Amino acid sequence: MADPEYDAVVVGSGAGGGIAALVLCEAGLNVLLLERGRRYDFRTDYPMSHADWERRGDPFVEASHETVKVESGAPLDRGRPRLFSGTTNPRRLRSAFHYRRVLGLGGTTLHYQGEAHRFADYAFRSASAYGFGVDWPVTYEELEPYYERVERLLGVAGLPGNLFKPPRGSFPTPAHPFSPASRLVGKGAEALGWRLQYNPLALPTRSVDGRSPCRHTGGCTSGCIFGAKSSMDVSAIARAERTGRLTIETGARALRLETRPDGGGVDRVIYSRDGATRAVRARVHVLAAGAVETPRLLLHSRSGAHPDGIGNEHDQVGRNFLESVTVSLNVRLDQALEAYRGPPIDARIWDTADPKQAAKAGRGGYALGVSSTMGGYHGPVSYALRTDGFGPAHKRAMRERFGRIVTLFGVAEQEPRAENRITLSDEPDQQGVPKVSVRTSHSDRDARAIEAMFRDCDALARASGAVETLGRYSTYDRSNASHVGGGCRMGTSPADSVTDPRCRVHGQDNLFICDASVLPGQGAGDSPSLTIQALAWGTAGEIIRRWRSA
Amino acid sequence: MDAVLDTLIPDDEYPGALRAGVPNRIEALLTESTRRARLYRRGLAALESRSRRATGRSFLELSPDERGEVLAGLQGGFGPGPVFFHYVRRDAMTAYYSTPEAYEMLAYGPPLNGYAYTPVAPEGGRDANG
Repeated sequence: MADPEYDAVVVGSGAGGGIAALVLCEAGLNVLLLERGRRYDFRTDYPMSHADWERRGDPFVEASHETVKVESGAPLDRGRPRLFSGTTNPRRLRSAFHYRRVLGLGGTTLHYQGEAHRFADYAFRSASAYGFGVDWPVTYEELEPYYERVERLLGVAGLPGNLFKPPRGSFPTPAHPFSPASRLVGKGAEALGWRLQYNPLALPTRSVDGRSPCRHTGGCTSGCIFGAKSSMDVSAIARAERTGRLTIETGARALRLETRPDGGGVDRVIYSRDGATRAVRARVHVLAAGAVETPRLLLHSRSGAHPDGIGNEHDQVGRNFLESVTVSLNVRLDQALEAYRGPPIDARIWDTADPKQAAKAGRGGYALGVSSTMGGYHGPVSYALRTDGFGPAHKRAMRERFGRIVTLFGVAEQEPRAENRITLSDEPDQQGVPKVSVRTSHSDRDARAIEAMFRDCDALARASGAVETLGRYSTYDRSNASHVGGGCRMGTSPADSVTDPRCRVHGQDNLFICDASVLPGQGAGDSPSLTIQALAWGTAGEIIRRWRSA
Repeated sequence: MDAVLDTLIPDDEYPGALRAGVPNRIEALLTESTRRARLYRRGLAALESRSRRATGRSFLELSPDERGEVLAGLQGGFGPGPVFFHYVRRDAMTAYYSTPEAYEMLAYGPPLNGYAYTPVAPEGGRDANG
């Protein structure tokens, strides 16, 4: 067998892969980072650098159906119309599974809005707190030091004092001031007995590593034209490159893994680049391709020794897949708000995440929030196209509406279920790899969370003085997963998990997972990136510890 | 074409499509795409024949209100008329609402200038370290 070319190979450069690459490089390992997408230059490549920015799509978001076979969704209960998007003509079947598939150096952090949440302590104890799901094999206390390191690296802006989270120290940079819209919704929240709180954001308010502080373009999702948003490419990966030990191959797509004949773990990663199939051998292999692609890669790595794929001896790969259980309401507030400025989600309400209340109601906890751009209203063109009609009335409506439409939303903890799963389909993609089939639906608990979130968002809209509701959206009938997770969940027993508590794949000495697929739960409505990053930091530490004692 | 654009986005207290230079932008778009140009040609013909059918006069001879009615009447069903309505509305709105004139009407500063941002001390809350 030839000698390994690298100490470690990391497949995928998003939240988990970026952090893993950085920590391994800084510990002295030579690392190869494989990224399927291309590298973007924030100075020139993003829509907002151009006058016609509203006509340009997000450059790194790829069609979900390139990866996921389009199949009809789960049957829906039309007897419960309040679960549905809109108000008329409820669908019989859920729309086909759809997720935000981002390709590019930095992965989904190119597209994310910078939400940098520490999950609450009870989110790690889902079974104890809610009576469903599992208690994680790691605790908040174990993860806290890694949360701190990631926050410092990203320059997270925030303000301590969130009563629904464990006490914490100060944030690396001060919180963004509330937008005019959030101040208004904050008054509405107060009237309902809730507190609107600063949302911790990886959008530094002061310069970090010589980068520009956040400039409030509101364009996080289409790529930050100032390089201010702490996406992995400009933060962790840029720092890893400065060690001189990081090799990056973009346009490189991992196809499958091969194990050593002696059972000593993974031997090679087979990948394609520039139309040719290649192989790379490393001592340690880190999968960080995300909660759809990582299970796919393991399932596709079939061999005589692993007839059902690597790590799948107990039929666990792909199971307990998690998506987003979400509702949103686009509302017009009757004040000039300049809603197009500022961080897209500067404020959240956590009162509703309370685990006791959630357990009593037989559902997961959820957090509410206010977003300036989530509903698709951002610049003038998006408002114009979403405003009906034409002529003098349209022009008047534009003056009346512009900058005043915001989205009130809720995101809930989803009930993890073994039957919500990813499998390989019979349909090959362009490179001959089977697309995945994603079977996922909302459980009764998830449906109760949807009802509760709609009720709360409606109340919040009224209390905030909303004069018009322009759209209601729910993931009950319309699949649109932004926070995919699970599929290779961490645990203590191979019978009900894919990795051990340090995110090493059961039965494989040198294969680790650093992405959302290891998550046993969704953090009670918080966004997962910071937890993925903290876990990746801890896992990279474990790799280094083993490396040094080997 | 100008008459259609003027009907979609007329002058009021603020400049409409014509004064904001939208016709040039549409022309550039049609030069880029022969497919779109053909769609527009067929659409304009459908509009003209609808105008003659409904009013007995050419679209160009109609009052602004009548033009609005005839143009709105293109919507619904199939054929070159509704397709044209969909695209011309979208193209005109997209072009107009990225002009300096529209930005001024909406008091909007385009993002590429960057919003001057000075971090200020956040109000409320309590610093756990403080």
